[in-house]
Amino acid sequence: MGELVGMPKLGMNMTEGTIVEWLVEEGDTVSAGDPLVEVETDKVVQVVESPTSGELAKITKKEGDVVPCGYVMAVVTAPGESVPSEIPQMVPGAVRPTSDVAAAGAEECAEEDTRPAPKKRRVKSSPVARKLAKELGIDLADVEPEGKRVTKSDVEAHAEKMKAKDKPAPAESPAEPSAKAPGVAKAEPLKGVRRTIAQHMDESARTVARAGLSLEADATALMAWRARLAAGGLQVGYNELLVKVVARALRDHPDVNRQLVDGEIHWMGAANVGVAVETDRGLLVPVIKRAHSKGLAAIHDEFKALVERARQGKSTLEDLSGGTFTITNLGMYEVEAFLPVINVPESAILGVGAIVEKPVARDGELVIRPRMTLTLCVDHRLIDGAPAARFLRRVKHLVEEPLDLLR
Amino acid sequence: MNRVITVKQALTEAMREEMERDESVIIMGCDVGIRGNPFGVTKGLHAEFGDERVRDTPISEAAFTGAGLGAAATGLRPIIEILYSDWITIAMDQIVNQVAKIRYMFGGTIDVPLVVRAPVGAGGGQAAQHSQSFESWFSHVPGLIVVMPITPYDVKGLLKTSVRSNNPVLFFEHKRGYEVEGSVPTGDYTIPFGEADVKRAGSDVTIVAISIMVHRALAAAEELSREGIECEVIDPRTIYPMDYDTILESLEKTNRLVVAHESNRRSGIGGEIVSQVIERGFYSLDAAPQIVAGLNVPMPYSRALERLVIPKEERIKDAVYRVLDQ
Repeated sequence: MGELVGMPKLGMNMTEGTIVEWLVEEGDTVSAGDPLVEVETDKVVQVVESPTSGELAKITKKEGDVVPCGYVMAVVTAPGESVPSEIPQMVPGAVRPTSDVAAAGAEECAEEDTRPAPKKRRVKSSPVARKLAKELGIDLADVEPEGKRVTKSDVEAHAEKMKAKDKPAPAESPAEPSAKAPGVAKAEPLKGVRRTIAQHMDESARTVARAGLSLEADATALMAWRARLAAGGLQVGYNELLVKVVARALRDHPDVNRQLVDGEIHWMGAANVGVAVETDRGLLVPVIKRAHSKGLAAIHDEFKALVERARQGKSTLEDLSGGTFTITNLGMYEVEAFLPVINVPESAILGVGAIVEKPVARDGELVIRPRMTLTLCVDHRLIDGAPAARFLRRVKHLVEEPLDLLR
Repeated sequence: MNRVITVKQALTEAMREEMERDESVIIMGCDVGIRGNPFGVTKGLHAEFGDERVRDTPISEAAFTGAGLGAAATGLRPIIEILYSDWITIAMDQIVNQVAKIRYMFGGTIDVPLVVRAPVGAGGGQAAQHSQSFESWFSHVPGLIVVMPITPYDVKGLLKTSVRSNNPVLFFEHKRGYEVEGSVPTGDYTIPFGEADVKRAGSDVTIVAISIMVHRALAAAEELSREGIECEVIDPRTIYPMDYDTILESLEKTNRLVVAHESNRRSGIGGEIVSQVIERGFYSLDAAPQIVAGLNVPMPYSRALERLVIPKEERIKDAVYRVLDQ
């Protein structure tokens, strides 16, 4: 009956994706692996490939449609095969409970990761219920059995419920923009990256107890360092230097490199430092994994590639996942200080301001120095003011005395 | 063209047609000749085919089973009849140690185209020595094909296949099933071994029913259908080879299994079917399979007690409720 092409589930938190563009038309011949359709998932634009060779017999979801993970978008039939009269709504076995990326991220930190595994409720269930739950990506612990144990019909009922829930709520994402409100010149549905940013910021605002601290650092040494590197042929930006500095500070202050997840405090093993990048589609935060163990040249190469992919809409989910701390820099817009929003589930973010020449008193004399305002926002649920201040002071010190990175 | 005939008539027709088709087909057993066997299954065949091809034998199951084996090994296609399958025990050495083994022990050089027909089953108030069904015993013995159909169509087609088989076949007929009527086409047809028949399609529970239990299961399914429970009734028709593909395919749909046979439960074919289903189709199951079978007692003479031992429709229905209630 042909191969069903479903919306891929690329991350643990991904529940749906938006179809950006069909790259093949209905009736076209395709080979296995040919790009079929571009979908905008949580944060990235991803190409879905044809699962088999044949004909793109039927497109069931059009461009702009928001499609829940595992739902069928198209059918590819083998030569001579006819389109099934009834196309199922979901691809059997398409959705997996955990993403490969999440697994990879966990592996990343495995060597130093001592957090306890979350406790799992043991559920009595029938064999076919277990098989079906696995196929549909349903955790049996979430299924409410009608009788003493979970049966096939319980899993099916749960899947129906999930389906209803997965459908975007009309208030959050109106199918038709409502241009009727007075004064509204244009309306469009909230979707894709913007929608993800909105949800993310909303979650941060609702859950995090944000506390902000700021100080000014002398950027003389940082500028000199950058100039010396440039003279040596390595054209790095301040962001890359700060990644290195922050990664070291996180290793020195592991209590900042923590996350609050489901009532547990997780100490993150690696310093995976994300840097906020502006793109046409909105803000993205590519992550430099294990920045503490990388040299500047490696950080520079990696960051360059990450930014390029982000700007071209080609970021992989791996690029954007697994961060433990974020740096955001508005210096290029002459902003001196600002209070950034914490990128949950991380617990801290550093807002970097412009380097501005200012008069400062030094040894009883007034001198002009390049100054840079650093603002640290922390989640006070986990990080108190004093440890936050110690961390920020450490960052300032390393900015001013970068040679100490060698210590 | 189809007509309605009884199982007994289907058996007689099958033997007559095979004897007309192939001169090497002969019949041997107690009272199979002039009397036409106690149930009338071979009636008329003696008159038609004569003493040479329809032979009455002395009352010694071991002797005429051995003679059948010898005839089969040397070029005939004998159908021998055990008057009641209970007495097949007297021919046990012949069947288990000789009939089943000889092809293997002579390196495949000897064909054994022997059919052993034997009436099985309880329900006639005939007590412990005239009521047994031994299909599970023989399905345990490598080298034997075990056939146990119940409808006129299946009986005729499978008996013909048995006669034409070059390997020994135990062909069990249920005594209470002889007068059951059914539609059978005129003309020659055969049914392959190892092919189950779905006697009733349903979506909720699969009932694998053997021999006379097919009728009980169908009756139970009709009653359950009025309650909104749709049972699929599968008749394996051959005990070995058993058509597990059809059973497993059905379970993919229903996820619930009941097996019904009249012979007693302990070490019975029901246990074998359930074990195979669990091994091969565990992840199709939504409930623990249930077996409905005879009680583990010698068949009582009292009709009232006999009714307690033999599975009734109610017990099949109860089992269906049990698999649905889990």
